[in-house]
Amino acid sequence: MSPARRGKSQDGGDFINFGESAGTTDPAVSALLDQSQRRQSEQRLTRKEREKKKKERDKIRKRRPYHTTYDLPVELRQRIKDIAEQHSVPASQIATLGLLMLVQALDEGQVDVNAYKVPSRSPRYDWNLVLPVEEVLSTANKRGRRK
Amino acid sequence: MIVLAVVNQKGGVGKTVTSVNVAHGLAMRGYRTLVIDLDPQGNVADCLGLPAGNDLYQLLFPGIYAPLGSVTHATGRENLDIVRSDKTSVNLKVAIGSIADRPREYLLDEALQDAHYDVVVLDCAPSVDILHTLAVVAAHYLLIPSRLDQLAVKGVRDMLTTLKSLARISTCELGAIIPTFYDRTTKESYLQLKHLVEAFREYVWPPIPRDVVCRESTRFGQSLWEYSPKTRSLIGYEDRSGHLIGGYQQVVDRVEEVLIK
Repeated sequence: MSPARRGKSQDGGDFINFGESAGTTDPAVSALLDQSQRRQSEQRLTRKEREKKKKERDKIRKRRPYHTTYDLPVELRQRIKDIAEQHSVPASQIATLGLLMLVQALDEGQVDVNAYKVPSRSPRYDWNLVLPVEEVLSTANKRGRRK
Repeated sequence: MIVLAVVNQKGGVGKTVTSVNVAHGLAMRGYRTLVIDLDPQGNVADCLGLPAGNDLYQLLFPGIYAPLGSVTHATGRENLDIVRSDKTSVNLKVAIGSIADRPREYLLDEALQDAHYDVVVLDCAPSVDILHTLAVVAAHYLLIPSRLDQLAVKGVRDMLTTLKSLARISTCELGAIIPTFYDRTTKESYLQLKHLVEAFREYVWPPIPRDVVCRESTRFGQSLWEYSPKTRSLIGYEDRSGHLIGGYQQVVDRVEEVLIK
């Protein structure tokens, strides 16, 4: 349909009133501006400082493939931290061990994800998992105390 | 079908290069695309390696009003057609200006009524004239390329004032401001982009890097997708996490999102 006859309000309400905030900045543009700002500020550093910054950046970049972000219940995160401290190992390795065991248990049919599923309202996902966090952690705590 | 008008009252900001490369990018993704040259300089045809022609004159000249199908030409690229323009468009402007028996502002809008395209891209001249008004009335969204200098940013403001003044007869909305000729090594580019973002926030899309290949591709009558598909102005800059930011590729992605919706 012709845009001029779409029946939308003709009072100019759809047009941006510059000077008034239109909303948030495009994330890609923000990232580029941040990058440029960092670049500008780094130009003021000495050669040695710039090299140091570059090394730090390279180190972070190398580790990036091993990084991921998941939302975890606070209690579970704390529990993983406690176990890691108890065994004097990094928390990432405890989390990795737990995930490996989960993958294995799923493969062997010992864990049924479907049992925890409830329909989701999100347009992105069909289901959500209702997790028995308190139940599992309290059982684990009792076992820990018994030991 | 969506109609995009590529406009800026300031010249030399990259309107034609933007029109051609966005149109060809969409055509390459399978969308039936028509690019209409509303500039008497007829540079869209040049950019695609075609001879200039008076298709626009035939389409809109009072008394001729040739059907759209008879004035569109294949560009030799799949899914991409063109309505060319040349110096006769100057006479066309005078003739349209003297129409008294019908609302002249809707001429282009009416000519596009039976268009069988997914996207129509209108490449406007750097001026405020009747063809410019026809484009704003016919378009769903404006894409405003802007160089990152003070004068071009002023051109964006002027363009939005024009858009607002046409609100009575047009429901065209600001789609995006596309910063062009971005040079991340200069402080001026950074400051002007920041200034633009502060004024227009989310309407400012990631910039098109300055790239000499744009000029070369025009000389060879090819779009950037044909001449140098990996060039910086198409694929943008790589950030520290390896993501690509800016370039015409990202513009095409975002227009495609609108098309899918």
